Amino acid sequence: MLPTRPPAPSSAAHPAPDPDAALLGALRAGDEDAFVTLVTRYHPSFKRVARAYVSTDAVAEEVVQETWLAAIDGLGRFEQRATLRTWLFHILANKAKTRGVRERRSVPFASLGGEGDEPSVPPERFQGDGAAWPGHWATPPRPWEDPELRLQSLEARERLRAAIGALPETQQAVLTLRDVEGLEADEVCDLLDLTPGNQRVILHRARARVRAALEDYFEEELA
Amino acid sequence: MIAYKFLCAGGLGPFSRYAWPLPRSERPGAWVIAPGEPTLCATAVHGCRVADLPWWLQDELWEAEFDGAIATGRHKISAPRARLTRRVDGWDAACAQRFADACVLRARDHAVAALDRSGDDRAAAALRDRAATREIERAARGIDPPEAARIAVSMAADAAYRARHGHAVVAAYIAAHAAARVDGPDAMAAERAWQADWLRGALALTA
Amino acid sequence: MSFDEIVCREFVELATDYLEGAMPEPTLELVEEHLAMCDWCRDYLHHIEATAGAVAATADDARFAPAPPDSALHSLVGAFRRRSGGAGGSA
Repeated sequence: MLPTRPPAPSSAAHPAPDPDAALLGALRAGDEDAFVTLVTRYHPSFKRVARAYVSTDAVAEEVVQETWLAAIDGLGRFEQRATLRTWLFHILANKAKTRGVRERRSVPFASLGGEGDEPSVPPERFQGDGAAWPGHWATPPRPWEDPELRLQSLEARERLRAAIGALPETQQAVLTLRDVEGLEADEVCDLLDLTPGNQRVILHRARARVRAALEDYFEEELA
Repeated sequence: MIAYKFLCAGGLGPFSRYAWPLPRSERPGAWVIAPGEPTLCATAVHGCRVADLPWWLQDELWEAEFDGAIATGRHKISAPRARLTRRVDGWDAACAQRFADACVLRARDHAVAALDRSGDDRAAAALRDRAATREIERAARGIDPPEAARIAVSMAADAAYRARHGHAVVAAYIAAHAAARVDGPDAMAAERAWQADWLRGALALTA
Repeated sequence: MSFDEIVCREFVELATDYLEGAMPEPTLELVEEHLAMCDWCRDYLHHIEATAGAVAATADDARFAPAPPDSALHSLVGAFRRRSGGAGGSA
């Protein structure tokens, strides 16, 4: 069975409801617990996106801190034309870009993060030119039984964490925004100044690397 | 126009997983309408003419009525709407196996032709004598062919292996490539036409 | 000899484009022909889907959440409190 082809991206005419709507209400009312919840919830993703622009973890922390200060300042003016999350990520991206420029670090996304041509699967997994089926799998992937269940184990989650952490920063950022935060492709392109094609390439490479790590994990389980 | 549609078990679209409305008591299933431009793959309903069938083999074969402006793809038709009219009952796992085995015999024949041409008469005769899929696989794997026939023989073994595991669509693909390997690109189209003819005959298809 | 088809080595580069529905029509046609007969590439596609799902699930996994440093959080709460005019909350 093949996966469902997803529906066309939702148009601006029918924006998704804001998942943080309730939190926003509490924030506007000055609820500090809500604020702490918000900061804690977005911290890991903010760090990953910031880290794609700046040179160190410590600087990324500073960028995240500046983002929150700007958000606190601007909360009263937030008009909800976008979701809270999109608004926050825009502030973050702007702060991170500015800081990256100040550090004289080249904007990472302009060149696909500089990873060059990276095949999603090592070439030796496919048959070569003298074989009966050039370009077809030589060592095909094995079906993963019950992946959702098996990926819940502590070991699997640790391997997943390590695999994501080992990605180049730009891949981490795109993977985080698309797959962790669930932002739409066009939102991510807008945030990170990427063309749709670039965004997909980066996303695919990120997913392909993590897939490879998970495949290693599953294969070890079998051995 | 009347054409065909392969669906996964349970009447599900192989790519969309859409649950097709099934015919009931001699009445066709409800019309399925594609949401957008029918010439676009993503937003059209697809079907097979008989000639297209070998590419798309799945669990269930249905006859279907396609309506509106029909577009022709490489090996499919696209239409703005379609409805299932009747199940082609003859297409079941047993028929798929017979078809797969028939493709294996064809792949064997192409390998035999390659062995003949390369001068290995003994190997050609040994392989030619095999009729059962399992034996064809064993014989093909056991041959040490001249280089000119190596890949064709390997393909015959591959076809047999895949057929043994119930992968009729792969066996058909392999046989088509085996034909091209031995007799050039035009032979691939001829092989696919042979496959379509086999299906037409076995299933008494009239559309 | 090469044929007008997509083979596995090419497909694996297109898996995300396929899942995103972002493939031009002629390519999509070739991809679907390939997927119709290649169970291995279908497995690869499922792997990519499962991977994206596993990554998404990390959002709920506290082990993935480096928390903001205490001092940083404290300072933010202070700023929030000042901006909100000192209204409620136990932090």
